[in-house]
Amino acid sequence: MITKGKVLITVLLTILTLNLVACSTTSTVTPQTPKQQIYALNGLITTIGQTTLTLYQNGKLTQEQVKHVYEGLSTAAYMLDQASALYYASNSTNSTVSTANLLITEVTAALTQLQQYINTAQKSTAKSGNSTGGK
Amino acid sequence: MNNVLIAMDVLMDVYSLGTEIILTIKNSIATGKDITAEQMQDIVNQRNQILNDLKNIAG
Repeated sequence: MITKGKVLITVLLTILTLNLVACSTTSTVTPQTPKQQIYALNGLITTIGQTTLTLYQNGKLTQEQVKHVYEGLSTAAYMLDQASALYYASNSTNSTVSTANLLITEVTAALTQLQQYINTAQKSTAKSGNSTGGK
Repeated sequence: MNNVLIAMDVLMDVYSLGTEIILTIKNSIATGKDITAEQMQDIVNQRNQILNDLKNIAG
């Protein structure tokens, strides 16, 4: 009979092997061009989102916590899209100064939005910290 | 589910997604060809799909 422990050890050994292979082939990769950096950041957001989803599906995160992560990730994704658009516009043969200025305005708006989000999150954390401390 | 199994589930997610991303970038550096529009669109679609799933949970 196959026990839970044996299955666990087998899976762990498999993951260890996979990680060893991954580390030996991918450990020194650093994005070099702006497109590679944009790609890597999009991948990072995707990975964090997937991890959050998995943890929620396994009952390790509450809906409120998922909402918190979602707000942060969607803001980051929005800003990344604006930055990407700015990059593509600056490299486009049809780019104009006015297009670039428009995009800079949008990126500034996104930064302001992120700042507001961080301020709200900090206030929220401070409040929950105070209420916990009071108890 | 057992915490260890959940942790492995998360590890597998990170491993599969991370490997795909890293190998794409590594290949791009090795060949000297930048990320293609198709590859970029693919990761953006994956990202948006995940964000949409999270949005549905967040309500």
